[in-house]
Amino acid sequence: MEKIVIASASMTKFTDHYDKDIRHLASEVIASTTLPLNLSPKDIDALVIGSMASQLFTRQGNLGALIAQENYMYNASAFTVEAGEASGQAAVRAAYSLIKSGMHDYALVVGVEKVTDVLKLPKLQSIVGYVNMDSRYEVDMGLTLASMYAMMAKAHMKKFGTKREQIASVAVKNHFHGSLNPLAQYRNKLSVEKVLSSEIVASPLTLFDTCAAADGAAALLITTESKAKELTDEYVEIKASTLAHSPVRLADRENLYSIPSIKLAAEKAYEMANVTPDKIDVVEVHDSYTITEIIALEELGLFKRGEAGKATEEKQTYFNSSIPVNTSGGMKARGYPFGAAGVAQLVELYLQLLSKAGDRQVKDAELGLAQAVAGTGGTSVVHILSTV
Amino acid sequence: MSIADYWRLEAPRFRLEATKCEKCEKLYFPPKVVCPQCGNKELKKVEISGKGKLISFSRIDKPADEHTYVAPYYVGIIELEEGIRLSGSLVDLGDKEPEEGMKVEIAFRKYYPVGDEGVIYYGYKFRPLLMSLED
Repeated sequence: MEKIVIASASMTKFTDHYDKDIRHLASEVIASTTLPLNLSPKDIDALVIGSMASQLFTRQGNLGALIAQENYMYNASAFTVEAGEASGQAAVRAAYSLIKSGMHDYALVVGVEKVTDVLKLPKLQSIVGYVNMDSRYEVDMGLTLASMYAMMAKAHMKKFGTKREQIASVAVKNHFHGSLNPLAQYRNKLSVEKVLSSEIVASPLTLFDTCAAADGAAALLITTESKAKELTDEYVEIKASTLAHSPVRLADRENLYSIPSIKLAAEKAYEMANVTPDKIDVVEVHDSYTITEIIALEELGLFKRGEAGKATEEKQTYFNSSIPVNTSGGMKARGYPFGAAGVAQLVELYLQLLSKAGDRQVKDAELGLAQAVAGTGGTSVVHILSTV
Repeated sequence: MSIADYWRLEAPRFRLEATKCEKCEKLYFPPKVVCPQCGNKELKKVEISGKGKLISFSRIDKPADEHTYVAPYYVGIIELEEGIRLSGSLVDLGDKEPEEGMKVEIAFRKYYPVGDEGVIYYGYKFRPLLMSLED
């Protein structure tokens, strides 16, 4: 069976791109992903867009056609994949499937989101809730995604004795990594005290336990190994691509301290890649909230249940430590333009596996894992990449 | 949410109407039209007690658009006597903070207004259980 590979990857800085429309952000990464391979956008026969809520953020739907129009890609099969906050990685999985099936030669994944035109936090909270939670049985009642993760944090603290400071140390670590990433939204360092003393969003979580609004785009070119070889010497293999679900409604789950869909997707991914968690060298996980990263690391089997908080506080997840996590700065510091962020997780792994990650380079990274989740766990996607 | 949506949701929101599959005895809230366990389409409508206990809670200081008028407020996950778990806002707490395990019951309240002169959406919230005569 021929290997499916990522032959090129790029992203914009994640920030408030007040001067750029969603089409401009997408076109920028399409150019910077295809040009280094001497490919024209016209050579691309599949364009898969990962975007969470362009209709709600900027009143623009059918991004496939719009972005094809902008880049004269009229021959490409272009469409959007939406899976809430997991849209970016779900789009990667769709593109992977198109190549794996043999129907297409070059699939370009573009994750893109234009968020900052929504100026007020309450409006943003509303959109994020209605897209990712059960609108009629959670959001209408006044629950926000932050309040859901707040209850999950409390459950984790109660069940395992996880300390509030340990949860905050996720933000401290991801800001440290962000300080090493030129494309990160936030490059300032952060202290545990600063996280704990910032405004409460939903008790016990504060503003610095959450992500800020940002715009951005990220892209990957997915193709077969033989086609990639005609274009470049630098590519990484996609060893696994999986997706799974758990109830969208948090109340319907057995407990509040776990996210079953992550575990389900991860188990399928390890089987597909024929690897075990202890072999993973570098990890990008979903950190829309600080507690999300802690739960994700446990569901992925990288730490035992209840131990990821302590490990983060002990700096085991720094880029130069035993299990480097979110070396890009994560959604917290690299930035979180929803659909773009999921694709950017794989851009980071691509850079790490090709030893192109600069100041935050993980030594001898050969196997990387990326995980994304929508809401409190309705959808989870996992990808495993390796050097060739 | 649209007016049609609001009308469709009257039964579950106004009187906690659930559905029960009489083949496999499973109770569903929110109501379903097909039992996912056995495929039965003849589900029976049943009303549930509206009494239960608080499993977890959080105080929302930064709400979504529709609920800014009432912030800060508490939300929680409630387990009803029938074993069903659901999410909702907590009201009538007075000066007290909620506590895990606290007994609560359904209270019919305003959710949010739509537009300046639009429809006001109502539905269930939860309040501390009032003392009954047996207590």
